[in-house]
Amino acid sequence: MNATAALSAPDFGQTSLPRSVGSHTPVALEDWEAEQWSQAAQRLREFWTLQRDWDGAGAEAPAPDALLATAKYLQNLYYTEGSVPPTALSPTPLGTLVLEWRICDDYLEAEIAGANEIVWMQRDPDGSYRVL
Amino acid sequence: MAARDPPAQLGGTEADPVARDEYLLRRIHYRSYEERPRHQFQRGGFSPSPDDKDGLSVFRELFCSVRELVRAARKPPTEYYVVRLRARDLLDAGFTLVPNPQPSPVPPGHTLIPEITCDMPRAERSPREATLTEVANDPQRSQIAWRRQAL
Repeated sequence: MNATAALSAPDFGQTSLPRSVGSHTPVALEDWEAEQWSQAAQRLREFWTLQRDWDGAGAEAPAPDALLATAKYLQNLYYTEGSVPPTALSPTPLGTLVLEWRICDDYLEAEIAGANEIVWMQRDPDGSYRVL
Repeated sequence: MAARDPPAQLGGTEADPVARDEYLLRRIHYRSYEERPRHQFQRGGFSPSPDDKDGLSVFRELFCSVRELVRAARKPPTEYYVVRLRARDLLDAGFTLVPNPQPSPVPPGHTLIPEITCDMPRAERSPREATLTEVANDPQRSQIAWRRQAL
């Protein structure tokens, strides 16, 4: 898949694509929820344009495999009943992408390097971080 | 964060050990800063670059001003944030601060955090980056010294 095709694929932030519950009854998105999905989709599209040294400190460009895997993961998540959109989506200088969920003191993240390379990490109650 | 303490080592050199009451600066690209739903540095801002084999770079404010740091970057100053961290908070979080003076064009006061390198296994590195990010996002332990909107 080339970059342009992948760019148009993950339009999971569109509220015109209703999510559904088991009976396929459409579920309306809350405003904040729709905004966060939309923001995640927009960020992901922007990340396709990042090139090597995007941070001026020698960062790798996001790997195409990581971008595609993130798009697929977000799309699946969007259509999963009761799912919560990530509170942040950001690139790392090593070419991976990080999805974050920060809710009060809880923290969960998925670092995606490719289709089968997702590393989860959470913040434990004692304040330490642990890879799952 | 309380008002800044006076410099700890007036007259010192870049190679001197970092004192606990010193301040350190780290330049963060805006792609690693989230404005919504709340202002937060992202872990990517504390991840090493492919060349960071010896540690993550920070700069001692005793030797390098905020403006000097953003102007030394390869991208325009409008693309960066700079976070100011206290040495003691990093030391208390388990990090080491190793003075690593470099010739120009690297700004003065270059210092390494050797606990975070690009060659380290992700399972070992990521929790450390997250700990550092948490310090940077704690207003009791950090300040945003430069905002990309500043220019």
